[in-house]
Amino acid sequence: MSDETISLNQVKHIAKLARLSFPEEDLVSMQVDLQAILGYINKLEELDTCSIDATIHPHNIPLPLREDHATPALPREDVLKQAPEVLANGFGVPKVIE
Amino acid sequence: MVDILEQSLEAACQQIRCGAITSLALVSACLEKVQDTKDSGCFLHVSESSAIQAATQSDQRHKNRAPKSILDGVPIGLKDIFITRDAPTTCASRLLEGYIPPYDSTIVAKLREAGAIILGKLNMDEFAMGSSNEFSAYQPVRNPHNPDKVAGGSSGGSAAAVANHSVFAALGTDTGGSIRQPAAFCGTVGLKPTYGRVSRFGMIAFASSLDQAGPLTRTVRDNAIILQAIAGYDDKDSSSVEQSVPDYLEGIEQGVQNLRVGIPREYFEESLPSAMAQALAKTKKSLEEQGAELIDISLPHSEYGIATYYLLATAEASSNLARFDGVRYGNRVGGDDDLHAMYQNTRSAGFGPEVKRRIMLGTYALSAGYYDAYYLKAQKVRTLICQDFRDAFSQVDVILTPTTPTTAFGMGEQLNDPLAMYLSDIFTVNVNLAGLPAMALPIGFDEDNLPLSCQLIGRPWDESTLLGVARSIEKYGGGSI
Repeated sequence: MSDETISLNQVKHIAKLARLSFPEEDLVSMQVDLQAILGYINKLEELDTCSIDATIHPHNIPLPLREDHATPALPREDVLKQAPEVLANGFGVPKVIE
Repeated sequence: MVDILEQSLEAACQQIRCGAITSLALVSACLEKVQDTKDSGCFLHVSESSAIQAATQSDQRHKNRAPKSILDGVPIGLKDIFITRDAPTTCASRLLEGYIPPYDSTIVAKLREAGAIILGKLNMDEFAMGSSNEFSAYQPVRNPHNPDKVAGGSSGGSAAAVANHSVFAALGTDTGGSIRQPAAFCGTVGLKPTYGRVSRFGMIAFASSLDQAGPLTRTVRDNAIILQAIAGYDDKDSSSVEQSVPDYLEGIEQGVQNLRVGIPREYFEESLPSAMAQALAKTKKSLEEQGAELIDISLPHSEYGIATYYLLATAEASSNLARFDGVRYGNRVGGDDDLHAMYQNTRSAGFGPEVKRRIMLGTYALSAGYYDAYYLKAQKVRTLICQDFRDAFSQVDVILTPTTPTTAFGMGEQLNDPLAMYLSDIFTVNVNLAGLPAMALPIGFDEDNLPLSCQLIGRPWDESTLLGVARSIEKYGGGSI
């Protein structure tokens, strides 16, 4: 990752992946910020981690499984109350399939 | 009227229990204080009517000699990251403006069950991303000791509201220092419990492998009382761990005789402000005088903590915040005939600059071709940082460090330099990476009357030792200079 520079096109690509859009001038300042932060992060290159395992959970405890019993869910009307759009008793979204 | 707010939470509990004061009187005094300190920006929502109603019910229970718990009737505040079924929950974001969730988070349910009165929702950095509380989409929080200084973040509203006596205690969350750093800046006691000690169910997720909720209070004993009420396994949170919860007040006065206190050399650099260095030296001396043994230790990978943290936390955040898409909750913006445009417009309008910056960094770190170099690398360095602590705890029982590299900085001072802001968490992030319990404890004031703080770090699940050491420091004047 050292010497990695991040181009304006890459910033646009990441924005697209993250479902974000920026005015052109903000894209440039985002590029500057990311460059500075990644420059600092490159510090990790100093460490040889070839033989080191990754840590996913700090306590290394297996995740518990709950009993496979159906339990009551929240009432539909309570859940839909905060939805920006309710359609046919569900969440409404713009048309996805023609 | 204000006098009753000067006492500790524990004293207020006792006064309610013996009938010397009513919950309603306490709630009214707190509401008055909230009004008087409005300019501090602590509250995003004040639950006036529901707090008064809950206080009236609590007084009735006390009258019937049937209080729910020691906390019955005491007003507390919640960082606006905890889901509440009767009050807006915004995470200080425009995206969730006006959102009233359909359920309570587990710790809110526990506090209600204990009879605590929820006075309102406290300000924070948007989605808990920030170290100054200037990234709230609504208003910044000002430091109660100097309004030109920041309160710290992200639980800045929680720390400042406890410090200015608007509430007797507050709940915060800590992903990389978000309880301890504002506690240090505002002169309060802040505890980040062991990862898995307190349920994360209903706490809006920032970085799921690091987030943990905990109490901010004015005294160590108060902190133990709140921790007691919220700790414990929750089958709704698969990352909470089934560990027995001890009585946190039992043994809290036992002192530090024969306790081994580790002093990691990497945390005591020459660049520490002199007042802070002096207060820490006095704290160490006080521990030694009380019978503790100070042991010089090393945590050699400490300097890699910030880089590791900002890769892991942003990667997890970019994934967690994908849920804010304008479909199920929050505010939707435009793009009526195109789903992807709707997602993009909603998120671009709803998220503030720091949240966008972190989502971008996290998305980059997880994107094709970069995963191994960034995310996996950081997970491996996390292993080294965890190992440092394991080695240290084979020699010592608790570790003492400064909480922050400086006292509260000026409003606007680090706003345009994200990296400088990130580095203010340099002494706190490693604790989250290792999942350990740690607390920030006031140890006096500097020459500008800004609070100084020390951090205590414990073994996994050993909050009791932390609380005991903190109580000893508090009792003997800490490092007050």
